Amino acid sequence: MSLKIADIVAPMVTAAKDSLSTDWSKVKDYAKPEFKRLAHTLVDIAKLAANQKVSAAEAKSLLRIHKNTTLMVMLTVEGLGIIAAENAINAALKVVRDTVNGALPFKLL
Amino acid sequence: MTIASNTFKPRMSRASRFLSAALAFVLSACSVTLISHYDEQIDQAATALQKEMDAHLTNLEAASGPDATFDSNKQFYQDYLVGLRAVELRASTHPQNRQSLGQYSLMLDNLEDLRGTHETEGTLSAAYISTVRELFNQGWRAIITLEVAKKRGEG
Repeated sequence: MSLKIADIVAPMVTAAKDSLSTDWSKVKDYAKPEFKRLAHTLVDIAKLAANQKVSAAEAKSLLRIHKNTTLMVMLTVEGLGIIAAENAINAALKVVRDTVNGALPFKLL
Repeated sequence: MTIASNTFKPRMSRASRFLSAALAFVLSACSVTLISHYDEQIDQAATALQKEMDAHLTNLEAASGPDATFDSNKQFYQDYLVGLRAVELRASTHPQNRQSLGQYSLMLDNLEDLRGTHETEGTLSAAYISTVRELFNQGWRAIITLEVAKKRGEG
C-alpha cells in the first residue's frame, strides 16, 4: 500500500492556501481537519478494496462519494473565504464611516 | 473674471454636495453582502437529514436477512430524496447561494449512488456501510458549517 495520508493532505492544504491567500488563516481551523479526514477515508477505501472487504461495485461507489464529499468540503472552504472577505470589506467601510462622523460636529453617515 | 469666478463657485459647491451625498448614501445604506444570509429552516432540515441518514446506515449495519435488503429499504431512499429536494428548493430561493446549491446537488448525487449500489448489490457490506456513513456525515458537516457561518450575528 503506497498511498499515504500526508501525501494527500499536503497538496490539498497548499491548494487551498494559495487560492485563499490572506483568508486562509480564517478557514484553516475548518479545512485542515476536514482534509485529514478525507485523506484517512481515501486510504481506508484503498485498503478495503485491496483486502476485498468491499465488492468492486462498492469500492467504485465509495470513490465517487468520496470525490463528491471532497467537493462539498471545498465549497465550504470557498464560502468561508467569501464570508471572511465580506467581513473585511464591511469592517473597512465602518472605519470610514466612523472617521467621517468623528471629524464632523454631527453624524453624517 | 469676477463674474466667471462667481458662477464657478456655486457649481463646485453643488458638485461637492452631490459627491458628499453620494458617499453618505453608499457608506450608510450599504454594507456589502457577497453570500446569502443564514436560514434557520435550512439549518434545522440539514441537521435532521444528517441524523436520518446516520440512523438508517446504523440500522442497516445491525440488520441481517431480509431487513438488510434493498427492497426492505426502498421507501427510505424515496422519502429521503423528497426531504433533500425540499431543502435544495428552499436554498434556491436565496440569492448568492451558489456554494450551498452546489453542495445539495452533490449530496443528491451521493444519495443516488448509495441507493443504486444498494439496489445492484442487494445487501451492503459492513465495511461499505461504515465508510459511506462517515462520508455522508462529513458532507452534512460541510453543509451545516457553511450555513451556520452565514449567521453574521443575525441568527
